[in-house]
Amino acid sequence: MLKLTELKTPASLEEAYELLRLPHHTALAGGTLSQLQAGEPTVGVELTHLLPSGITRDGCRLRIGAMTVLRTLETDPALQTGCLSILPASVRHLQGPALRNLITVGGAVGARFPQSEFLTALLALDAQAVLYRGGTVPLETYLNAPPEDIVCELLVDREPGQTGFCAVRNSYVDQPILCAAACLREGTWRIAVGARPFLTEVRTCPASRDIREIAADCGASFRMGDDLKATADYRRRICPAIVRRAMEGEGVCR
Amino acid sequence: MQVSLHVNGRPVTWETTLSQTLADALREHGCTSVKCGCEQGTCGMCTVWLDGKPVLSCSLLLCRLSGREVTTVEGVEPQARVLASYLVAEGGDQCGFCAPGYIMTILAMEKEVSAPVSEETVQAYLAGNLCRCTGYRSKLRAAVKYLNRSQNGTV
Amino acid sequence: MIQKPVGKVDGMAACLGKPLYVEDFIPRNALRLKIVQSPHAFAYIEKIDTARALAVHGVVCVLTYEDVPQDHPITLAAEAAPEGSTHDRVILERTVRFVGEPVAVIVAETEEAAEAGARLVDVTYRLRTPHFDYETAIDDGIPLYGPGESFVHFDNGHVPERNIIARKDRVYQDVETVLADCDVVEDVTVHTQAQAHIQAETHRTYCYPDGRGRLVMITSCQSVFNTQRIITEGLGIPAYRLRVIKPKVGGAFGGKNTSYFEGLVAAAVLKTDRPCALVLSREESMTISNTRHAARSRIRLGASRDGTFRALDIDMLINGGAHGEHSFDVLNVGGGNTMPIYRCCEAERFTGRAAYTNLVPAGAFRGFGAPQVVYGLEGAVSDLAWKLGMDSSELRLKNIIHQGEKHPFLSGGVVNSSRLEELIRRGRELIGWEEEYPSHRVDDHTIQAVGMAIDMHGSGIGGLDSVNATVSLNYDGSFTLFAGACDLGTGGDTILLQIASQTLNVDMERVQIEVSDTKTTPYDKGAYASSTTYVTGNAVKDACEQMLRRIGETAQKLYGLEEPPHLSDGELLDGGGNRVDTLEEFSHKIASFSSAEQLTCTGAFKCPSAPPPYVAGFVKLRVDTETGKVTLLNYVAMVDCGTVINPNLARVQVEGGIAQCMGYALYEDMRFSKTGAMLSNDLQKYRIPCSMDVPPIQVEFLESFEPSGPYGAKSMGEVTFHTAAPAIREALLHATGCQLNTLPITPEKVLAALEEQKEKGGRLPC
Repeated sequence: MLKLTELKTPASLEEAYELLRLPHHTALAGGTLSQLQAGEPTVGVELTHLLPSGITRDGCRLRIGAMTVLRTLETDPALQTGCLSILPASVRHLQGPALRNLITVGGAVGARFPQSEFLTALLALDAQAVLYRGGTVPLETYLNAPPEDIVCELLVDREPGQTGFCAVRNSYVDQPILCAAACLREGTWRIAVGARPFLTEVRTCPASRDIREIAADCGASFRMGDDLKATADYRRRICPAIVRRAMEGEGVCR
Repeated sequence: MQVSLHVNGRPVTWETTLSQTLADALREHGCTSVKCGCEQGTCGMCTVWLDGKPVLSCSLLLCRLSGREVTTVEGVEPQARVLASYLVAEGGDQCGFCAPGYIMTILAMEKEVSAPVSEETVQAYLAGNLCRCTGYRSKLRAAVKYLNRSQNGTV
Repeated sequence: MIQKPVGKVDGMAACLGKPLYVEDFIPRNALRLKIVQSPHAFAYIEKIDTARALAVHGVVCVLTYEDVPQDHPITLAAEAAPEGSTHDRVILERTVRFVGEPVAVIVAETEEAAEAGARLVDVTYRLRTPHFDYETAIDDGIPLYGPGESFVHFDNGHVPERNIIARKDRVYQDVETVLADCDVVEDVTVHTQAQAHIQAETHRTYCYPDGRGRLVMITSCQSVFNTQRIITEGLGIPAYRLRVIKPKVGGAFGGKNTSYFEGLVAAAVLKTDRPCALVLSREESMTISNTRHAARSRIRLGASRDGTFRALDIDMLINGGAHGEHSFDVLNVGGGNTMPIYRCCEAERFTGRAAYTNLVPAGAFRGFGAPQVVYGLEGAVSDLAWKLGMDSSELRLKNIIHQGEKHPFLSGGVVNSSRLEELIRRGRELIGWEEEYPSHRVDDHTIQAVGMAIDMHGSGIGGLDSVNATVSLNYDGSFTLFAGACDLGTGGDTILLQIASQTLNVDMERVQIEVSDTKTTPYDKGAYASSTTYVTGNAVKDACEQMLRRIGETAQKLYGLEEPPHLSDGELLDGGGNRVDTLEEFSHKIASFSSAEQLTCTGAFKCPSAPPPYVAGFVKLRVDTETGKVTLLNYVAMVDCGTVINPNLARVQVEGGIAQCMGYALYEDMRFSKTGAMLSNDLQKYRIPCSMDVPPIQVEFLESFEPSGPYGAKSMGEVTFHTAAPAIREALLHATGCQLNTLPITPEKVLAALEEQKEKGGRLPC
């Protein structure tokens, strides 16, 4: 459990940003991350009151406030069917409503968990992150950059294209052994594979070949590793099938 | 430090520290319904309501909850009793340790869904409430009967 | 009152969160304990320096091996005396033998102070070479115990210099000769993993001095009397100085059948003369208490071509971990509660060994050796049927034991109650066996299949178990039942009340139960080996029958009757059915000045044999041939536990046991690092089934009548566990042709088996 030495409630995002650049300062949103962290005692920086919450339509995009809890995302009427239904599908296995009422979108993104199905789905959808200082960047860029900025919102296209999501796990609420999300738009596939057990990555490839071929090649291009749940070898063997099923539209509620 | 909030409908001001969880604080102040099963936010046994929504009390620090409303089984006892009577009638209470968390979860579900409710819906809602005794089936039967009781003509 | 789905007497209170559990009784002024754990798997403590820890504000004292007797080893297994478990423990060790073993205990005013102190204990270790592989520990490992460091009450096969905790051999005729003569011999070796109990409530104990030189302990345990005896033995104090009470327990499953921590808390009270409490975290409960025994079981099943079993040879090696509690009896059960489910072959043999390793000890866990063997035995039966081209249910029907038949390894020797054949026939119908057998393709990467398994267990321990129960008639016409039995959440208390009220012929409300207290309830062995319904139930029935006779005799004298009246529905009736008096009035009268005779009767039951309950389990599942993922669709459990005292509670026991075994079968897995530390040490890394993982389970009881059981009942706490894993193995055999011999059956293992089969030129059955 994360030990706090102090709790600060900044009056503005600017103040919060400056605080979070200091050593041993940790952002506090839903609070669930602190359960899984140990280490040096830290100063907690409250963010919940400073960032937007809720999902709104903005033209052809959805704006998802960073303090939106995953439960809200999961139950939003606009996301129940159609291509964006892979978002609820990607958070549904996180235990139960009580946990998902606490985890915020910003917290989930910032945590950069390798097992995150949510990040996998977002990457395939080519979500954008609106950062406090860094402006609007592809989520991919934010994930690979040092975590110094604050995510204020996520932007997702309302019509991202043809999507799909597929994961393999043991218990229903277990982290996935491997997960894949796919999105086809204007002749290009975005394929994200996560829980490898490395942080999810995305590849793009033209939709010019048979899905099976693409899935096989693309699947083979991701680096896999061993952990308690499975070996790298197993992940390599099943990746083409998982990717192919995502490309075939599994996980989408029609 | 002190924090003021509402617990089970009453305003309270409690002494706390930067590391005290809501679960520990509730137990300290007599809410023995709140159980700690894993200190990690994985088992669901510590489920309470925060502003009416189910949350994991072991994952919340009391010092951050100023002005909020917390509800435990002790605060909804009449309704909890009705659901509990269904659970006991199925034999699904068993060791009873996970029962309060289950009750807060199902009573919260009742606010979000309308009858008739299927077993599959309840099953998914309960996925975060671990139980080692029952294998869940009796807990599902009880919840389905409870949630659909107006349909069945029973109260 | 029996065969009624009565709700548990303490169910409502528990649901509403009333203060019923150990933690609810710990007062604010109790000192809190924190265990300092060994980081090493095998080491001798040369020196412990507690100065820095003692300097922490709030730390009151630090317990080490110097605070407890070291001179004679005990066992912490809470079993009846004389314990079969190898004695190799003291309350706090000087030699630590697994990562996490308690080295010292901080006793402090607050949990924070205790935790702070725990980080500041300086220990100098002399490292020794640990051994982690139980398959090579016997002879290849450095002995964990030297001369004088272990002890046995009777020869249980313990050979410390070879790291053998215990042995158990059973021999009937000459199995090798018969095997050599068989048309076909299935030879299968299975590896089953250690399993964590993950009871909802972790281990916790509260203890305080009562001001009269005695300690009162409120602890989450499975046997108050056995705990009392072994803790006082370990501390070198007389048993009567420790009162042990079990309040409501949040689940145990065998994990609290060993008194791992009670001695530490009692020692702290002795040293400080203040109330002390220890509440273990989930991680501690997982890593430093106990697990199920991992095991390797080799089954050789010889049969003739028509499927008649002719020889059965089982070789079982179990991983006892660093301490020997329960290992001997696990071997006992491994052969005794498995092989007698089939008709006795021409020859049978069971060879069991338990090995020491430098890992967290294995202990009691529902099934207690039988699930491990059943996985192999039923696996061999599945494989034999497959090889012979026979329906596996028919092969079982051909060979199962029937009521009236004998088996040399069966407790009591003969089966007095069994409907096992009907369990199989009926279960087949319910799962749709004929339509589904063995498997069919659903789509290009999904196969659906059915599989089954059968199991038996015991009701108590024959030739060992003994309990008393007392019933008292109160002045207001109510009865109080005193039982030392321990309800672990199963509803044992309610069952006993049902039996009592049935026998006394009164409403359940008239009978109150007092339980699980060494000071106020009579001796009971406790809740293990599936005992409460059968063993304690019999004692309760005996006590109540005596009470009826005493009431009759006393009333006869009191009212000057020719014959004793009988009790019926709260009234005393004479031979002609006329009311003599109400029970209430009678009770007032005998309590009054003129009589002063409170009626109290103590019943007894000594368990001569442990009549087996039976389960036939059937599973329908799907396997994804691209990923190896197994999805359970449906389960049918047919149960014969004799008369079912409480259908609801019995049904939930069945569903719960099956769910636990589904986790055991598919993903529960204890993993250790190369240095012996437990890697799967929290609920994220070690997953138990959640609500979405357990498919619909159809349960049906076919009641046999066990003549030696209370109203024909047998126990059933454990028998519900074992079938799911072998049933799943059989279904996967039917689906893929692959034999999955290592638990848990992860998707990875299934895929590997499929790929190996493809490489060898094999094909899927469909």
